[in-house]
Amino acid sequence: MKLVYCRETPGGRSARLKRFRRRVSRSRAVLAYVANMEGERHKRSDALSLLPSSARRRIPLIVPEVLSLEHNYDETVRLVNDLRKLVLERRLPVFIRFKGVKQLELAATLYLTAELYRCRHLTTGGFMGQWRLVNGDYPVDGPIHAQLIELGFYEVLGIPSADPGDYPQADGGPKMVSFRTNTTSDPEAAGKFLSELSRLGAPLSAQNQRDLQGCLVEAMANAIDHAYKFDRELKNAIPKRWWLTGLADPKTREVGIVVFDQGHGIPRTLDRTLFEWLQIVVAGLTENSPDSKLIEAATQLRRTSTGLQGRGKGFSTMMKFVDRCEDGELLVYSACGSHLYSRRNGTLGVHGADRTLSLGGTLIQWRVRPSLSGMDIAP
Amino acid sequence: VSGKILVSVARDYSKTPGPRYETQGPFSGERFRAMILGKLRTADKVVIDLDGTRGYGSSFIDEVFGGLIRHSREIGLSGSEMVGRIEILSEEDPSYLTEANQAMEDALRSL
Repeated sequence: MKLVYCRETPGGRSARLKRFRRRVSRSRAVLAYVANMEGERHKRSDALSLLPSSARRRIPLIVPEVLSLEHNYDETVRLVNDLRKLVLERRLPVFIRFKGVKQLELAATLYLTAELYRCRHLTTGGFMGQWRLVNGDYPVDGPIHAQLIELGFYEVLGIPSADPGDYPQADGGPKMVSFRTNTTSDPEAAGKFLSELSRLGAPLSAQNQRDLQGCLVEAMANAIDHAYKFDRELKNAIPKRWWLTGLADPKTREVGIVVFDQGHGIPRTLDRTLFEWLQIVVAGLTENSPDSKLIEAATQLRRTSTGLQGRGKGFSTMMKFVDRCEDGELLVYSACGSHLYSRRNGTLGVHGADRTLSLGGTLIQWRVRPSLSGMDIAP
Repeated sequence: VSGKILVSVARDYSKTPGPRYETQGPFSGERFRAMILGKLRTADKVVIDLDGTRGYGSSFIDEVFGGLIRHSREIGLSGSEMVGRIEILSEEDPSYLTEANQAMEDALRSL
């Protein structure tokens, strides 16, 4: 199996010359960038020495050992932000190193995949557009490779992958539904996704499935209508695009679903009228409130009618699902904040957190552990 | 104009009702609401059966039932007259019934 995702294509003499000049220019930019990586001398030389020769003209971006928003938010988001800045803004070639990855969280993998997809689809160069700015290697760890194959990571990105039979999944481990992406709110796709999740062993009751169907349709519609609403300001966006994946863990009986969009984030898309209404409902809310507070405020829209047509209903469905579970949670990451709405053993909990790095979109995650009887509890 | 018509969302529209607006995706609340307004031109009362689908988002329900009130003038009715000409059934999940009634009340208040 080749180590690199794609190779440069041959052309005529002038094309080769052009490519050579571009390569020199890029190499200088790469060297300048690498030289500016302050305080990371050892890491830098290690990273470069480990790269295959074809990748040394590229800026190495190392996927952290633990790719996770929950357990390693800063490193995970920094990787994606660097990828976005280098490829989409500076048009520099990068080499993604997956070799050292030990743990992939579903939400973080979806987040990274969406960014790789955007980079690979919005930037092409060289002869017939076949030269791409994003390249990389494969994970060494077998289960990680198997997980990426199962999630359809290579398929979505158009990257050749190994035969799935070479990387058998561990028995009894979580089963994942491959990544889905689209630019319309497609209720049939949501239905098929939930059917597949059930087929993989997710212990969802009919009530759970009805609630989740509504959640998915709402999340997709939010991505389409609100997330990218200032799309003139969004550079290099693929407007209206949402991403979806899920898992069922037969051991813990846990079911997880993740929806992601690369829009402005909830704090920025609360419009003026809505914001003034929210200030009446949520004490101490200002435009300078932390993102977690603004996300929480957005969820309050469900409690009372805003009187504004077409706004504030999405969270109603998403939270209703949690309200009706014995053990479930809704976790929203948006811009620099996150908001957790959970129900454990019948007790509701709310928790917010803020970070310095922005996610660059909104990620919504549901987790549910149905009770042993397989029936949910409706208050 | 006479009689009572039963409209089942699952049978007459879609088992997978979609988002609020037609621009957002297929089987929208906007299109279903237009369909119900059409039925109300020929019937005294329309009974809407919400059972049998794979589930609803709140936006769909708000657009259908709140939207019927907001667009009642299109068929020459007031908001309260519209309420009297709609009946909702939801045995599988009574919370949809609550949401639909709430959407109509909210729309009436904002008229």
